[in-house]
Amino acid sequence: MTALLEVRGVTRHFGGLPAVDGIDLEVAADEILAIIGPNGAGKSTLLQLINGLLAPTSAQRITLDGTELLGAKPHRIRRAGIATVLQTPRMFPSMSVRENAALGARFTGPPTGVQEELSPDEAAMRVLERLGLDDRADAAVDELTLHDKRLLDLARALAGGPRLVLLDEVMAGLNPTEIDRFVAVVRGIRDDLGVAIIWVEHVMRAVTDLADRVIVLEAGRILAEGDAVEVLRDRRVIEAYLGQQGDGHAAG
Amino acid sequence: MTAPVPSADGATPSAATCRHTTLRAYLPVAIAAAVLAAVPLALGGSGYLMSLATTALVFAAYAIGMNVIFGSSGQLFLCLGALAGVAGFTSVLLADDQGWPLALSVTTGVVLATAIGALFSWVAVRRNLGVIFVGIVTLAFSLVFTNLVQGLRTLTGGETGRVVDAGGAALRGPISSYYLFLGVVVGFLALYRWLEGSRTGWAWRALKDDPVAAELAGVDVARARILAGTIGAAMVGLIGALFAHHEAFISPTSYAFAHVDVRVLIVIAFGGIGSLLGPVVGAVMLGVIDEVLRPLGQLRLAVYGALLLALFLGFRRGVVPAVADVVTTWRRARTPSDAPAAGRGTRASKH
Repeated sequence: MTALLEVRGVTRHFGGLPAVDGIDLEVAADEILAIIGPNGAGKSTLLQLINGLLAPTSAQRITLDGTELLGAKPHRIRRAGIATVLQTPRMFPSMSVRENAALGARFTGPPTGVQEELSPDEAAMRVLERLGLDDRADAAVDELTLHDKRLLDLARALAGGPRLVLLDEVMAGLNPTEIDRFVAVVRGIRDDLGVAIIWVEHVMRAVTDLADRVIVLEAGRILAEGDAVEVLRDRRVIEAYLGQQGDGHAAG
Repeated sequence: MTAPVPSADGATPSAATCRHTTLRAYLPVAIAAAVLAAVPLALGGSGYLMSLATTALVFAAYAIGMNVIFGSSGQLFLCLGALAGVAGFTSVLLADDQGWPLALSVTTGVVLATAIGALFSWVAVRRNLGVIFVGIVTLAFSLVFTNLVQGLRTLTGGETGRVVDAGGAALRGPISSYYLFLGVVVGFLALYRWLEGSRTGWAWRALKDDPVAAELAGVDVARARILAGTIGAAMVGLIGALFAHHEAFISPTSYAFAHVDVRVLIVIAFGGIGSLLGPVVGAVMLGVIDEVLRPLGQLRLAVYGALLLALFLGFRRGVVPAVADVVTTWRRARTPSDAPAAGRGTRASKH
């Protein structure tokens, strides 16, 4: 596999304790990689080391398609093609739904899969249509539900034409119907647009549905890696992680 | 759902409508320019009233600069007077003592003020200073500046100030100087409106809402902040330099914190932070208040302080936006709205 993203030897300490401890990983151009693990395993820290919100304590390299991103600020990493959707949706409350999405296209872009030149507003509408938010384009963001806010965050990410999207527990707090809808949306992004996804998630049903490959983190290190179903059967994984959460999750 | 009804045709706006909206965005600027241009006719050539009107324009211009720095990117610069003074004293020293042409000395003063504003912004961004710390650092600069001017007596005339020779008839005549400062204000308003619609303007809006989200959306937050500090400082510097040559006299008092910054904050508090015409409306209000309070003499400053407190506590977003809100609500209440009626209609038809 030719890697789109390559992460080598990334470590981050908090107060002397390693939150992420010498992680290596690769993501292919159209892959959905799920990262799971117990609370405090370093999943979100790893995402923030990739998107630039955190600086690593030490690292060999983080490259996107060969471009070195180590030490770059988040906006540079975004412009290079890595977008992020955080667990808590980050909205611009002074802007409408459309303006929120368009902002993603103002500083990067064009949206993935769009060839012609579009204004930021047009780009926003394309993406909002794809995600089914176009009927609320002129609404204020505080009128949206949590599910729709996450979709809007994703819309802003897509409007900027990313090659890789980092999703940080975007299913948290959603009801089963919303989870199904979100899974369909994420699959569509990969299948139709060829955008790669790194996905930190606790909702195992969604992981087994979607992920091509799963990495299990524990205490900042990779505990297991491979096909979702196999990994979830792995004895070490069940002991370290799934055992804590009851059989319902392990059954997936 | 109570989402507003989107345009039914769903057509993408054509280039012609885009241009139309762009021009319409400048309509408030044009109206303000026309109204202000008529003021000398209304004041009937009274020198005293014209000087009050010119002062109002000067403070409107300062406030637009403050709107760029604080309103756009949330950097609380409490050194507008000092920045204006840096430009003013530099320009006066170069023009009067070194014999530089007026345009060149004004430009040099502006460049110096701009550089200092950019430096403060850069430091604030690099050191990740919050609003309060930016306020403290810039306030300290204001105090240093005042002391410096008072100390360098041979150059600046110390506390008493000095007479300014350079400055043509255009800068000194009551009518011509009014129009000169009006030109500057209108230019600043147009620039402000243009910036609002630009990529930089969107960067400012985004970072004011949420700097982390802005970075994640590709906004260079540091650059946008420094740009705001730089552009705003240039505006303030230009007015500061022109003001010295206009007054034909320069002293630390003209640029003192209490004289410039406190009043600009009142103007902003009246007109609304980040509103286009707020600075103009606020400056006119300040001019009126100034006249009303004139008999109080030095006590005026105490009143200004109290006023500032009251305004910031009572009208966070500004008096003008607050009043505008009240008017809109009132008008909505008066005119029978279609939307609720339609809502009732659909509900009725369901039953």
